[in-house]
Amino acid sequence: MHSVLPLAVALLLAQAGENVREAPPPPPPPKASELTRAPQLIEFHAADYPKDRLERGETADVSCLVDIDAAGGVTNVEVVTGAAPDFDQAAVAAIRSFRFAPAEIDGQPAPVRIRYVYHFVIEKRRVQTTVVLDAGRIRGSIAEAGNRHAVAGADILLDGAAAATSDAQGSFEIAEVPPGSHDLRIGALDFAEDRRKLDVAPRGTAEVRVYLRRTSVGEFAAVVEGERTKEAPTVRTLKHDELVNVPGSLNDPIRAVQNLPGLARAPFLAGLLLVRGTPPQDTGTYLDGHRIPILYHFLGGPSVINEQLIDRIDFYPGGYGAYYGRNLTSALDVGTRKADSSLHGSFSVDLLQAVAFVEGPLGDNTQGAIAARRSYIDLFLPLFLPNNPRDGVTAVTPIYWDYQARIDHRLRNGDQLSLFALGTDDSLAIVQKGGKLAEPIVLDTHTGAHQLRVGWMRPLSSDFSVSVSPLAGIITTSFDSSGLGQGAFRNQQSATLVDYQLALRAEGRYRSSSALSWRSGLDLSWDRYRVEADVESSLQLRGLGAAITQPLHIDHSQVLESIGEYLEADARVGRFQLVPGLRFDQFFWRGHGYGVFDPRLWARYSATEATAIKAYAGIYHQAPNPANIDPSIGNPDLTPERSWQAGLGAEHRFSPAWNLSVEGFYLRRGALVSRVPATSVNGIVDNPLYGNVGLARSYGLEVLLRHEFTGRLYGWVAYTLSHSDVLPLPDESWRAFTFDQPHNLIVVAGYRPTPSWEISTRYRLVSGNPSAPVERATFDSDSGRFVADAGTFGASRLPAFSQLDMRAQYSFVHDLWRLAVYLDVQNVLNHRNQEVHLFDYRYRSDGYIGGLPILPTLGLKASF
Amino acid sequence: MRPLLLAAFAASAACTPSFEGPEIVRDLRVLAVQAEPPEATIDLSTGKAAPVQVRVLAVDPAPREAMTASGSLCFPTDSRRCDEVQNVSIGAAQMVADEGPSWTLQVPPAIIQAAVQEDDLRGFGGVRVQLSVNVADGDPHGPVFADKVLLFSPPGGSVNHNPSIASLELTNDGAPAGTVLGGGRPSLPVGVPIGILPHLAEGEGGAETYTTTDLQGNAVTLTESPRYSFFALAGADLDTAIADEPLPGTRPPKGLVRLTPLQAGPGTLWIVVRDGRGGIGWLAVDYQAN
Repeated sequence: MHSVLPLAVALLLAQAGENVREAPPPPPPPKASELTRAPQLIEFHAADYPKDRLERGETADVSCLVDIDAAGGVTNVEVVTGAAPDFDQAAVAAIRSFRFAPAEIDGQPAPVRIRYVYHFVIEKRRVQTTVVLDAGRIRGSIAEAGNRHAVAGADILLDGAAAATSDAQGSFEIAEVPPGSHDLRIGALDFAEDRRKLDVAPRGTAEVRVYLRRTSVGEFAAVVEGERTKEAPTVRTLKHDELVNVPGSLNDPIRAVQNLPGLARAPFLAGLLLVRGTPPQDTGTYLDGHRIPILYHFLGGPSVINEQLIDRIDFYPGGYGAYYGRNLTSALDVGTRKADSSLHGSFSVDLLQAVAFVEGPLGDNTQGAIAARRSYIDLFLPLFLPNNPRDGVTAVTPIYWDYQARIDHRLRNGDQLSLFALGTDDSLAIVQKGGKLAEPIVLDTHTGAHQLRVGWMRPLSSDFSVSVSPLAGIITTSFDSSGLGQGAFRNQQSATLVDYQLALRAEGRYRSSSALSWRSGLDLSWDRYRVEADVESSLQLRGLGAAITQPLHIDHSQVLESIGEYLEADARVGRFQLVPGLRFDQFFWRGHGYGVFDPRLWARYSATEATAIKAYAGIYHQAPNPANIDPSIGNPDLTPERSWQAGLGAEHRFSPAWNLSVEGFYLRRGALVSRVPATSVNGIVDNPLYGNVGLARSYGLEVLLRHEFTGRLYGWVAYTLSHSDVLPLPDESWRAFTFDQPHNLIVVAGYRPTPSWEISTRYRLVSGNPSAPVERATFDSDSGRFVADAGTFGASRLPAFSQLDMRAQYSFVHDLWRLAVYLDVQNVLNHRNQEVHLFDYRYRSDGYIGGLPILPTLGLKASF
Repeated sequence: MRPLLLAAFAASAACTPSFEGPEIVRDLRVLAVQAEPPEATIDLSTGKAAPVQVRVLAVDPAPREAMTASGSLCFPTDSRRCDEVQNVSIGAAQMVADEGPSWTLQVPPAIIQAAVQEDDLRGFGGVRVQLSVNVADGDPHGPVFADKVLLFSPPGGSVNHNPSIASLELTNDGAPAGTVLGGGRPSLPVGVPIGILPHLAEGEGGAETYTTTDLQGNAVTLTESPRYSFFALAGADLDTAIADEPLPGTRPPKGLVRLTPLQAGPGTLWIVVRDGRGGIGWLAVDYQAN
């Protein structure tokens, strides 16, 4: 007797539940498309068991990737791990005839790709021949060793006969078991078989908990990878496991985004987001749709969000829709995840910091997660500082801590509530070693931020949902310094800036027909800045030589309000998708009010199932930096800065794993805030300090060849060809953007030969940053310094940057926890890169500040 | 998990190039250019400016030829040179033994007019004329170029004066080690850091209080904060090149700079002081190291 066990259904469902994380919860408008329902197998057809194999008693497992369309039909089946041609052929033929209830993304039927394992099993059913009066039972649960995730679809054999299959929770039960000792064998695909003896008492129940050890890769496979609804012409999404292990990214997922096309290489270890030839302030950084006040800790430190809380990062390099506003160039949205419904956690320690993370259930419908980090670099830095017995060595080191907490609760009516708290704190410490200092140095610099966010989302119907997310926060920045140098830096100065922050995002989504859907929302922010400062300021309109300063006391408040409304339609006709959007932002500060309309449009045409072309154009505005509109040090009469963007691109999927994206872009920014010179007419001085007079432009081509994250392999090749320059003042000449890098090639690859090992590498070859050639220099007697007669910035460049990074990780797996050990080596080839071009005091000799030398790093992390 | 940023910081520090500082004079250098008066008067209606005496502190421990200097006048330029814009030559400098090049300049009205025309502030706060000089003495690197802005203001404003160093107070590890007046020739121990605290002259030669215009165009009263530059010949060590005049009521016990003779024999210390308004003064001290 034989039969093909339809274990795949259970496996599919279990894995769907295990791998699909719910939306970055309720809070912000449901901007990210999420799988809201896994596909259900409703029509199963058994495969034709190869006859000769059946006769020989051979069994097999055929692992496939299955494409399911929005109607539930199977459109493509690809064998990932085959058994033999006849088995593979039979499995593919059977799966092609399956019928599914379609998956839903954001409540809408949508095409998805799933992993499906077809088991060819010759079942030996356990036949109960006699009635056992004293029969007992066996209850058990099966989980994966190391992470305790349930293993569904495991086969349980009792005394050599099939007795049960574990369910989605990994549980099983065998009834009518005769008293006595029994042989129990548990096996599951990708796991080593577990064998054990079990005694069952008369009328008793034997409990067993089994931890299976994984034997083949697949642990991290994105089993259900739905085609996300296209909400922007270009969004590059990286998932947690892809991000954490990129070499050189310091295990910091957000930093790993710097490896995507369109971003210039930041110097040293800086986490700057230099997108499409624009400075970091032109890129909006968000956490679940809300602006995050601080992305990184001081001085190249890690991002302020614990990597365990990050589900994915959506990076919009340009041309995005109306949801994001008040940025000139791009948006980066970090999506956090809901806590797991079972208890998990991790703890890591190294020379820099200690990090802890715990998540688990807080009730039937409630989960919570909390993370915290504390650095102690200041304790160890003196050990690494080179000594200088004569002059001593003075270094500034950051001290930081942060925390995040998230609670999610599902109400009985289906509403989702969430609470997210975020805190981060940075200060600087002076570390001194050796020497005798003439003057003591005081540097008390501090930045702290705390935010509390509530999220609520209600699906009113299958076509209409609303979400609301208010936020309150406080951001404090202060410094108190003296003895830092000459002039004003010698005298004591202090300042405190407190930003009391309120924000609200609300959005409604409505699908009026299968071809047309709408989204509209509010994006409000209110910031009250309180400034109190005692600083040394150069008040003199014009001097000769070193600036003469005198104390300046500043004590005032100012409010910056931003009100944004947006409406976006998504029309789909056949293979054509057209998304027009309109955003209206109003800015208010210091008695000034400005309203700006930002129309945006993007379109996408799917020429074939595998190929699409896209185009976009749009206008974007952002408010000036709050310091620039401060009446004491800036110009309240400034107006919002603006940009317009256009792009054209194509995408092609060569296979389920490989895809290619090519995109050309043009970005022009105007009304940029620049420092302007004072003027005088008839003895009347006009000195606005800043004006909206700057211009900038950038254009280029971005290519991304990517291997999606599968069980064993992930990676991409990113290449950007670009040009970016700026014109700060109308009567000056165009010059290169500080980080203009015409060629930027990045190759990232990760490979998991076994579940315990992961090897990854990154290679970067990037044009050197622009510089200005110095032709001659003159000693300026008024300042006492030489002044270079430099050519146009960009007329020369530093040598190209080349660096190879590698990383290897091994995990020791125990039943309840695991320990990961990794070695990350940056600049494996110890290539001498040049980051900064320097000259001696009279510009006769030059040299370079080098980049990182070879830098090995050993790390440990325990998790359960 | 986090890698060792510490090591990165340390490694980066080790990769910084090490250049020689400006405080040791090894070849031909211009250390200062002084205009007397630092703020001359001008009649804006006619463009006629008062004459200005210019002195250059140019030194070379090993000159190969007799020192010569020439220069030109123009409106201020970013390059600090006058060769690319309308300019007027001031000819060769008068060379006075032990005093360096000097000129007595009468700036032509055409240069004054050009300076006003090219100025965003149209001469507000004083008309600025750039003096570009070059000094040569056969140094293999060629002539040395320097510039100085000559400031001209209508009569009646806060007239500036060049600062003047009256004396140097010497200390040894905080203990008094003597005072040097102009023309003094102290003896200094080899290998011992000697603290040096310059004292400015009283009155016009010290930190002056003056009225000027602030960033918004309003009148504001400020006090100069003089800054010193220190230079010595090879064979001595200075632990800093620049220092500010101590805040009123303070006196750094170890001076503003430590001079350490490294070998026995004669040496020279130059101290240049700048007032931030174009006023410049200096003191040269020959010492004997024993």
